[in-house]
Amino acid sequence: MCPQNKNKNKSKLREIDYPKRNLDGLLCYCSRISHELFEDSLKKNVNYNINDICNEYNIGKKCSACLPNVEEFYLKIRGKSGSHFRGLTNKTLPSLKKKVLNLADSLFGNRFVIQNGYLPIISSSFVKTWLVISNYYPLKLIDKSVPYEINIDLFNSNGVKINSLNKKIYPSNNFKICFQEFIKNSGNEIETYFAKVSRKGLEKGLRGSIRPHFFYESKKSMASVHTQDGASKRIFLDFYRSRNNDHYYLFIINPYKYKTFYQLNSFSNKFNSFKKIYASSIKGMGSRLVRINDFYKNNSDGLMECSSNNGLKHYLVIADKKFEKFSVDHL
Amino acid sequence: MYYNYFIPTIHLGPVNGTKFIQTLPMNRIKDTIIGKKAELEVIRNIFKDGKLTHTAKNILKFENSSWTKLKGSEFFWDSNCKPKEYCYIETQINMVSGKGFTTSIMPAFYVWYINNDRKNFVSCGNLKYGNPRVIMQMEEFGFWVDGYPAVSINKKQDISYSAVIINPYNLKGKFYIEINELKAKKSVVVNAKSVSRIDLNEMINEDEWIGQVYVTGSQRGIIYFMNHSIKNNLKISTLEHSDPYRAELTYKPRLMHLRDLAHRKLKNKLS
Repeated sequence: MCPQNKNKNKSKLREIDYPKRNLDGLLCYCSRISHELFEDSLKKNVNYNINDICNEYNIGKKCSACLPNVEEFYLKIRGKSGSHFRGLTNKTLPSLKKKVLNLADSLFGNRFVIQNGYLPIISSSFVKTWLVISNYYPLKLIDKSVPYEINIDLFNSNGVKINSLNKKIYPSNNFKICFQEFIKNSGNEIETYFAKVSRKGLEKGLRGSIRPHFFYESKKSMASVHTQDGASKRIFLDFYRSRNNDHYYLFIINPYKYKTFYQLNSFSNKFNSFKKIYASSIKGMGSRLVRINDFYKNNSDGLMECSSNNGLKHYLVIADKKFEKFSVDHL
Repeated sequence: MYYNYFIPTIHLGPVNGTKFIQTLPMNRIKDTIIGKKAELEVIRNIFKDGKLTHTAKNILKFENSSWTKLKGSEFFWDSNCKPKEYCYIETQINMVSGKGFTTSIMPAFYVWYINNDRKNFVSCGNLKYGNPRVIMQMEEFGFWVDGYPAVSINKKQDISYSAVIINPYNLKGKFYIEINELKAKKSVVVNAKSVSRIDLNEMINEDEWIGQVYVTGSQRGIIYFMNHSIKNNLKISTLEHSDPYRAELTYKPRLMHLRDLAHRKLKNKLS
């Protein structure tokens, strides 16, 4: 159980009124430049190009996130005038549909968002899987984080639930767990499990850094990635190999309760054709680790498709020749 | 609204001894093209220490709803960096003829870093502009902040993490790295169109540590976190994009939740 945040005198969180907080609708938030100011300036300075106006008002000079919008807006003003241009300036006047939806939303109140992540666990004598969830915040944002509740359900490769955990993570804390605590020693064979990690804020606030991450701890690496939810019936993976004899694996999770059939195809972009190379099934809530090298023994590269009758979650695992280093990436 | 460009994507360039392979997701790009015909210009620029060191331009052709010219959809680059040098690659796609794209954001894809005597790994790119998370941060609390919650250091096992800061903009940037749990801070200046790597093992006194690191600054940077050997930082296990401190809310309207649920179920049924 994580210790409570000892700062009992922390100031009350500013109440955030959803969805009203974006009323000002600025063109550039860093320099606080509105659409109106930008448009007026362009009308007064007919010879201004986009660089001139950006330099004058310091637009796009800090985070640069606004530049595509600035460019489009500039082209709209300098190009044809008309109703679509007027629509762009009226960010503070939502459409009738938006107004009706906003009213309906405000009548029925709010609910806390539950987010899920599917975590591929591999277990053997030479690799362990860790989960890390952080509820820290940057120093400038003291009092922005809120407590979170985490639920973890652990399933073996056949989809049998073998454990569950429930934790609260308070601000200024993180939560770390090694799944080997719950798994019998599998020896030199690599076994697969999967953890469904759900998170929910317990107060109104910002989501912050709470997204779960995990890593495979091996002899020479602790390379991590964030979890993801979602499932696809079809994914493509183009890969390249070299003389280092790395092992490439496709980790497949079935996040639903029913059995799913899947097929691996070797795909040719040029001819828009494919060849079936492997087919199998995964039980509901189960998982599989498929070694890609086995199907491409004489190829230094390939384009593989995994298709299934229901959605599956896929990760790419790369291990070096001696299984001393691992990396994992979601597909 | 149609777009005639994709926002440029930034990737870390390959380190000494590594080959960079980028294969554009042509099937998914095809799905964003309006109409049956288009010509796309693909430009790759490589920057090192503020200078443009290489440019590659190709034209891809799309006719009768199929790709007829694909040369340039793949890009192979053997690193010309010395052991302590870093570069970055900026990829831009413009539509030079055609009706437009349905989105200004290129479909996500991985690039490969291939070695003959070290481990291979993949990484995704970062938008140079228009990142929705950054926009929300600026709106909500007025500054950009990125980070990573699972930085792992183990000095006995020769394992460390580095923060790699790419500054692809025209201004020099000052960046601050915070490890609040350990009360450690460091500032670093990254010149325009340059890359800097900060080995977090040097900021952390503990022999073993797993925790949260934040990066913030006078302007946005493109941040990656690299897991590597302490003795030889070219022995890289993985390269991962940062995880921003999100300004999204922990709650949303009940009716909106129901609408989202219905939309997802409908989308699943139709797919």
